Amino acid sequence: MESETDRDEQFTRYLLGDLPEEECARLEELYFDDDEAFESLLAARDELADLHARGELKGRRRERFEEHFLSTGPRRQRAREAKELVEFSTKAAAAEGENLAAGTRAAGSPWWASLPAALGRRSPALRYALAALLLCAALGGAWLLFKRGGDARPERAGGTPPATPDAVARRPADEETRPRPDGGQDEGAADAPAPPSASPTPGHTRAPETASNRRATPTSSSAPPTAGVASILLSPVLTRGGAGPSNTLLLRPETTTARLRLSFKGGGDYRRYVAVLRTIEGEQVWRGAATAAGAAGPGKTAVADIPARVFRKQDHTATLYGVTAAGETQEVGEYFFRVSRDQNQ
Amino acid sequence: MESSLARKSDWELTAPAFERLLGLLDADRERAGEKYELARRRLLAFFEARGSESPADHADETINRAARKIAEGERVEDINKYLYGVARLLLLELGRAREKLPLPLDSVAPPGAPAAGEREEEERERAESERRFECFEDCLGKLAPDSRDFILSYYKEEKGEKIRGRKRQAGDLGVSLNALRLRASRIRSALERCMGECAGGGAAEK
Repeated sequence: MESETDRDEQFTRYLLGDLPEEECARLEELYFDDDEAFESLLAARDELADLHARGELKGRRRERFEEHFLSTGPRRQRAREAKELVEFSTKAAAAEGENLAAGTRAAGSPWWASLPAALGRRSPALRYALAALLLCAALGGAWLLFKRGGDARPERAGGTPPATPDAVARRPADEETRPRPDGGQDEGAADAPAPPSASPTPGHTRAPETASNRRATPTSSSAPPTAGVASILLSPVLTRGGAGPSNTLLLRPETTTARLRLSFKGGGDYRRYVAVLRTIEGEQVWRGAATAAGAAGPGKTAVADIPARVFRKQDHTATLYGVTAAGETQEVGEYFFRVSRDQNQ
Repeated sequence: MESSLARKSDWELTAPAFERLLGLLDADRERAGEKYELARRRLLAFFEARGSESPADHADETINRAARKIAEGERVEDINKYLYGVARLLLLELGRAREKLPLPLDSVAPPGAPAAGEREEEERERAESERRFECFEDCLGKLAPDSRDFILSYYKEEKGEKIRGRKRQAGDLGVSLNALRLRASRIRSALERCMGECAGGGAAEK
């Protein structure tokens, strides 16, 4: 009798197109007949797409996923939705955290301080309307009471800032753009794929996040060395979770070329190098030569100049291959990075 | 395009034929409806796994063909096995039709392709993403609170490999990793169906 683990493994191979026809038919008969087996198939499919979305699918599994699974439109759509689910869950969880924090901060505060949390599960439109009403009342009240010009927002007027919906909505953006002493950003903000700019309060319905409000200044590694060229130094990473602010390539309107400097350990005797750029869904968007440059510490660096216009998505992987004298191609390193477009410069 | 490759039956599903099909699924009308939904989901999963570009069309075509045969007097012992048999025949037809087509062109855009309307496209995508996120939040709100917390914890991104986080989550809940995975998949199915209704539907029907 087949164990649960064996069956799950078979379903994974089935989804990756790695099974002979007879075995496919056997599994299909099984999941058409048995509800639990069908649930296992769906769970295996979700997990594959989820692991790929996180960059945690490795080796042959990843190859098969990209060659086979991503070869049809509906399955590519599934992969996109898996990535979206991770992003949305991260965003929503971050917003929940904000709610919780607001609740904690508001202990002993007036009743309205807990409104963001109370509104958290209403529809965005209702939340927006209620919060806008509250904001108007707060601003109007402040104006009538103090009759002061300039910035009438209560939390900017000094003293203890009350946790109004407006304050809660604005907080994440303020925190994200707060620079660190080293010129980078808070790790917490950089860790999420879509930083927690969407708060549970009216923030959801405000203008979409832009590159400029998300990241006020380029990180040191993506500062353009020459006009029209944006450069970034990447180290091989294995998971998306390893992508921090220094893995963000900032493309300005005037950027025409993205220069990827791919560091790798020396050792292989390669005659030339080839870089392949893919979206996180695995679609190849560019392929071209990479030039080995001077040594960077104990390792080496290969440089690939890529037209900026090929970056149509936010998350990408680059794979560096070395070509031996015999013409054999070997993978040298894989790199994950994020592209941010600054359109307001 | 692919759906037109297979010979689509010109027969239309009639109410009596559909009723007979439902009757084979379960004597109770309500349970039959649930089993029908499940059977359709199986067909969707089957056609998606087998590389169909239109799983929903092919699932519906399978159901139509089966209903027609049943209406014409075909004796069916096990309706799920029967549906699978019809689906396999349709798949063979699709495969034969596909073989006659020329190979598709390489889908990779040439590096020098112009980036016309790139900004507008990005803006549109961003607005669409905002809208889908609102749907996601609404759909999350419709889940039971424990399911909602569970799914956020299961799918949110965190430092380190997710598998470690899930082992921890399974330990906290006192269930196996597999049970955790199945629970996530069930809630995710419900969430995706809700998202489909709210946002006009992704292709990934379940």
